[in-house]
Amino acid sequence: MNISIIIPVHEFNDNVSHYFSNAVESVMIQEELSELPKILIVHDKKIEKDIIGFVESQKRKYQDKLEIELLSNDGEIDFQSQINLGVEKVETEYFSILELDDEYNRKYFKNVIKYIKYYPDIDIFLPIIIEVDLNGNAQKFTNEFVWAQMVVGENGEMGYFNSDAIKQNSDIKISGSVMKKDSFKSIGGLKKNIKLTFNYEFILRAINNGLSVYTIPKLGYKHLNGRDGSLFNSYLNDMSLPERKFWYDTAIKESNFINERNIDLSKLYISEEK
Amino acid sequence: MSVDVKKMELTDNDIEKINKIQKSLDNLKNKHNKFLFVMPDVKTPNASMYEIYFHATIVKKMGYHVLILTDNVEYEIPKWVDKELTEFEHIPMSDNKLSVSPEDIMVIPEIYSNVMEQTKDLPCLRIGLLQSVDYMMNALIPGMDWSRFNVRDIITTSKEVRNLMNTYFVNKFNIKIYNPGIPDYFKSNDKPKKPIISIIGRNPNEISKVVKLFYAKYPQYSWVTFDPMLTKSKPPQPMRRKDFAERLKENFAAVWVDRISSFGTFPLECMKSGVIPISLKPDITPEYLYIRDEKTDEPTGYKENSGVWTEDFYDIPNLIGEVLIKYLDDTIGDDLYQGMSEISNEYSQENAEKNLIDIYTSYIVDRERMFENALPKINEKEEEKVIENK
Repeated sequence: MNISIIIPVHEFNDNVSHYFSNAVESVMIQEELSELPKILIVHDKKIEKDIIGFVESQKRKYQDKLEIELLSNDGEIDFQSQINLGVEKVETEYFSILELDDEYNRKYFKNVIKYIKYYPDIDIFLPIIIEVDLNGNAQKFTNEFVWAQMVVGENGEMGYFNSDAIKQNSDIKISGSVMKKDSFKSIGGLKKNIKLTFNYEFILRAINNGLSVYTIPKLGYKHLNGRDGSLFNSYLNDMSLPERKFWYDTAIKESNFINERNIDLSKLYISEEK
Repeated sequence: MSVDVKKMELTDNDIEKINKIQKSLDNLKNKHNKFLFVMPDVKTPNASMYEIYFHATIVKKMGYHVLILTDNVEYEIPKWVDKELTEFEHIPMSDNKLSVSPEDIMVIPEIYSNVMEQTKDLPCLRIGLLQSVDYMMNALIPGMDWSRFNVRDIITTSKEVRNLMNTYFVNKFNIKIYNPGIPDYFKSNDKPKKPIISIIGRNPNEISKVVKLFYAKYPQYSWVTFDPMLTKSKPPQPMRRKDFAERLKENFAAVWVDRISSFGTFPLECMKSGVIPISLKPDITPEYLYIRDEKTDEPTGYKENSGVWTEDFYDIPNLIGEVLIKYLDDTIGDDLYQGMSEISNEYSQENAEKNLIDIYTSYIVDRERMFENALPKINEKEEEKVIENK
């Protein structure tokens, strides 16, 4: 298997453990694969003991089938830094990102392999994500819009991201994506200084730098919304509209630069009413 | 009585007749006769014109001289038909230089009952090509049928149509059936299919209605595109059939709404391309859907895994939604694709060619026999005349 899975973990408790088990299970039950992807957990050093305990329980459950590695990080425990760190450690050509409370579709990697075979030049494959609430009810799709002719434009090829398409849609998620490690690194990886819109900024930057980004037209990934402690839940709860607008504008601006730059937060207007 | 006949003297008229029949027979045996295919002039892609060109090509391959007769002087050879199928001399039916001999064979599509009427006194064999019962009936006035125009031979595309004809026009026609062939460039491959739905139908209003109802029922799938299967040029044009096949196989499903179809070519093209047809069952059930009893040849049920079929137009948007969900979730079973492949493989152009060679050969053989049967009666008189002269 030429794909590794990176799971960034910055917290651990019973609730997380429940979702985390489901996330790992979604890897272990992948269908029609001769070999399962290796999992790399990048975790906050402070929760190392919990993570080791969790991994041991998973190894008992799946025995030899589960290939898992731990990478502890200290200090920068934001999502972006953990992914960047994991990519450095990855030894396969491609890697995927799995959030600890999300799940892959059981046929996702079978499809990924098929698409890699027919589209070897693509740098970033995104799944169609189905976003669900805490009760498992479907809320919406994400990344699907590039399959609409009117979004990609007359000259755009359906399935591929282009500048026209992402001008109209900033709601993009890279969780569940499968990327070429070298391509990811060639554009500088994820930017930790950008909040809320780092997914959008990354895809904008990928397009600006000529990378090929494509949505696999399958429901490949289930993303949970609304879990206490999750990164985006905190953004949604805590950020005012002007603040969100600021990060949207920042994403567009920063996508022109490969290197991480300091964000001028003096222009960030934070509403008193959150 | 026979003695009287023998004693009759041959007139110049008789001799002329003998010579003419002998010449016709010789022409027929030496393939010096003509096949005349009357071609409708429909501007949009249709299976009917394609099939006539296909017949003409098979007859040409059999070694006969083939002419395409057109309704008007300004007929343009359709670009959407494969070029190699249209390489014929096209002559307007109004051309005064056009001559027809008894050994010639004229094939007239059902839409041209007026041509059947106008040519009823011609000495050649005329065959009705029946691909659409609807077109045939539209072109007839009440109380009339092709036998009134001396057309007794019919080639058609399904047992269902033959049975209909035999039910309503009892003992009037000799009907031969062949299975139309789907070209091999309609083929499936392993390349992942796109979430795009081809949509084809006879009535544009119905097509539009299906799309609008689908989006109304499933707003979450507003990003799914329906493809009318036209070129991307401005204005959009009908596609060449090869290009059509290339485009079709990229899409995961196709909607077909054609209530008056007598055969149903498009769903077969889909099946051969690994594309799931979502279809309104036409008034005449496509032959390839039936399971038939080997002894009685009567339908005993429907084949499984032939795509998605409904008799309710308003069910189509729901069925599109169900198939789309399965496609996105990747839960469409291999048995569906296997079934579609098995059904469509029966309709190869190779098989159609064999069928048609048999059919046209049988007309030639019958015609030869008819001429040969006509000759001895007159020849006997000629022999008698020679004896008397001695």
